[in-house]
Amino acid sequence: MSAVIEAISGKASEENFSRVHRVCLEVGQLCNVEIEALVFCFDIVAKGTLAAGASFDIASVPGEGWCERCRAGISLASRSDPCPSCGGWDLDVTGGDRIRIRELEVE
Amino acid sequence: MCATCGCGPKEGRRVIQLEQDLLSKNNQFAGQNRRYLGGLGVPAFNLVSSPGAGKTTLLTRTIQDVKDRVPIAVIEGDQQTSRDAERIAAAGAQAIQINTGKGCHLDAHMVGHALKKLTLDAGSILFIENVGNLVCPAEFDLGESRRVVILSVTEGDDKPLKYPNIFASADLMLLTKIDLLPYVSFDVGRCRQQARQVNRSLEVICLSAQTGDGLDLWYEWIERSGEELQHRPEVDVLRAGGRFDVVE
Repeated sequence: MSAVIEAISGKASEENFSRVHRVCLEVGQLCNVEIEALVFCFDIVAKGTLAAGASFDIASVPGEGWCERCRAGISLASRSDPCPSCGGWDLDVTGGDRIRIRELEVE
Repeated sequence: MCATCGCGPKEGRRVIQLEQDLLSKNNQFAGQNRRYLGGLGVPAFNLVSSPGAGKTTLLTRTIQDVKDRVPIAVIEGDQQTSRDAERIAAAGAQAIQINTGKGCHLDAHMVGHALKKLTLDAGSILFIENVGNLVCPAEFDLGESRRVVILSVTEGDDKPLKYPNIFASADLMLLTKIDLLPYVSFDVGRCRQQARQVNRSLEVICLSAQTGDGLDLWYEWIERSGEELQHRPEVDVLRAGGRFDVVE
């Protein structure tokens, strides 16, 4: 979570703000992150920084993949799931595997 | 605009679009490490596993077997102590210990600092032994050329489906301690199948660092990976003093 604070602090002088009220995160369904734990850690890490007390707005991004057998894009709820159309495993993850800071509401 | 309800910012406030990957800083350092190692022509292998899978034992055996042909350097990651680095040094390789303290994984920044302390000659090989953990190390690119996930047969054959991200991120899975197969209910075929379910291009090698079974396949894999690295076009560009797709 300190990566969020670092990214915010880096932007503060560039964008000229002194307080962050809201952090909007985009969390992929397939990435290794427990959202509740993430928010809990953020509250602790943000203490004493310009993001102290900021609220969180989390947009969950669905997992996406490519099925080689179907030659088609598919939706994936978990990395352990087979292709929902053919039941096969010839899959590559193509989206929903990242966490991004989408935007900040600042003052 | 708020993703939950679509409301706009309150008065006196404004919204800044960041669109920044949370790991972008780590990935920048990883790019620097990869460029540095690529320029030296040194292949780097990031070894990940749960604690006790046999990473250090495999490394000490590997060092003893190949050190006369190839110089080996090791970056050791543990929360505490320099015991592993001492074991590696005793086996005859150059070793640097990183203690992550409370951290549960190595990151590319720590590895970059350790790289500065190592003397890496062309033709040598670098192993990075990550902190024992099947979760967090999956997310952190260290700048390695290949990632190797190690699973011992005493841990259970269903780990690939339980911890899919780390198996999905690896190039090779080593099934270790196969000399213990007669004493445990570990189904190699099922494990291999489950691992391929989360990563269809994952290579698999079964071995025992105790008996030496399968080690020849491991050494061949290391050699092949090193050769592939040497033949990557960006390495030629680096050698000619050029640059490739790494963010500063």
